[in-house]
Amino acid sequence: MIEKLLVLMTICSIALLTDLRKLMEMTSRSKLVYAGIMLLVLYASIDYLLVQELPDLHTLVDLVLIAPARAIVQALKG
Amino acid sequence: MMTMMKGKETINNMQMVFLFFGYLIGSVLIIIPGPLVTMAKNAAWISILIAMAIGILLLQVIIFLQRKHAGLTFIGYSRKLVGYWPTVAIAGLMLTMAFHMAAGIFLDVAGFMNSMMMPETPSYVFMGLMYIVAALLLRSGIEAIARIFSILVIIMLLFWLVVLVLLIPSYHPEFLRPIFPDGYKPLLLGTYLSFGIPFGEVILFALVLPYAGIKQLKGLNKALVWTMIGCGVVLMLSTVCTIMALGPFAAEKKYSLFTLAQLVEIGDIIERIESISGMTMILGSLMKGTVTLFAIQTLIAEVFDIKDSRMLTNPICLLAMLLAMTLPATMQEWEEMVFVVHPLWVGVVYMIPVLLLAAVTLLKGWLKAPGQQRE
Repeated sequence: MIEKLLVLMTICSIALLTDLRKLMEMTSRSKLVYAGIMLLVLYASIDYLLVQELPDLHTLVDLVLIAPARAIVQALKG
Repeated sequence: MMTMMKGKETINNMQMVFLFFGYLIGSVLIIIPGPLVTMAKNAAWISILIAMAIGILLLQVIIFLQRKHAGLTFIGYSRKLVGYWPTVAIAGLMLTMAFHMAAGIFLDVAGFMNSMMMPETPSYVFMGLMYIVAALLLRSGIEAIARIFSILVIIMLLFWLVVLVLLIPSYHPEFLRPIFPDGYKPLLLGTYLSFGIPFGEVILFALVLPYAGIKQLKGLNKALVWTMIGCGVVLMLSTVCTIMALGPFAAEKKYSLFTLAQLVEIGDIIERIESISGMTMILGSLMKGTVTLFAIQTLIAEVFDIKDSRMLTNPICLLAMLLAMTLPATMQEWEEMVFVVHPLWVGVVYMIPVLLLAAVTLLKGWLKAPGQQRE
């Protein structure tokens, strides 16, 4: 947990500190999009820290595509 | 508001060729031959040929769209053709695959380094370094990326060629037969896989194409088709050499080019050159990952009409890295996602929307044509 927290703090500070000055100069629309992506980052960070397997991109794909994909591969395997 | 090309950055045809080659072949050179031989057996090289033909057709579709809507970006002509909200839906669908790719490419580097070269080092070290370099490249802009790729592609091909040439004494051409030991179905399975990785992924390159000048497009088509054929040949040679060197064991080796490099032994002078294939993997992944992240950045910036897309570099790289660290619960789940679901995913979110846009372009052209004749 502590290792993960340190990793997370390091990568987030590298990303955010280098953007700090640019963030001040951004238009409100850019700031909004930036904040939107950071919200997704926060969600992924919680998933990473807690090892909770929260619903993610693959959960969605599992729901929609995995069954037909398996069927295709099975059919081609014979 | 229609998204036009800002006219700030353009790259010439040769740079576009290197960019395309780096994106298409990338890490595939090391990752794909093993699983492909498992699926398609000795017909693996034919399945690459079929998937390449499909890839060339898809390339023609995106170049057709770019020609018909010269001066507009992908999102720009999508808005013009189908309107804003359908474009947002298309971009959203494409982003799911693009983020999966951006996470997966660097995750594969970490997986490769951990299982083959540096098992004690935590995977986030490899991923972190790769994302930092990719972010620096993205912040430098497409022109700088294209210039550096020209060097990286040559180095990567040189490394690849060294391994294959030094192994010539170990090749057994008789391993290539029979071509269809289990009928034609493995061939189709191999085609399914190699369509997904890398030939179907060509669609994402539609986001980079607008950076070529409008007048360049005709020459560019020819250049990109030859580049794709070159990629196909490189991939086929890797696969054929893997089969010739490893025979029945080729299917069991996950990173076949690495295993091939381990076999090289010329006297007591040239041996243990597998680190060369490690470098090929890192260079290839960096190129493929950078172009994918560039496409994500461009897609998001254009959908939300943000003028300086580079502002989004850091959060996008951060998100992709976190996805790489959290998406697969197990390696088994990841492998199923890549080798079973990925090709279908590519078909649904990349191919179908682009074919739809091409169909709408043709339809609008036909509807417009009689009116023009009357005038």
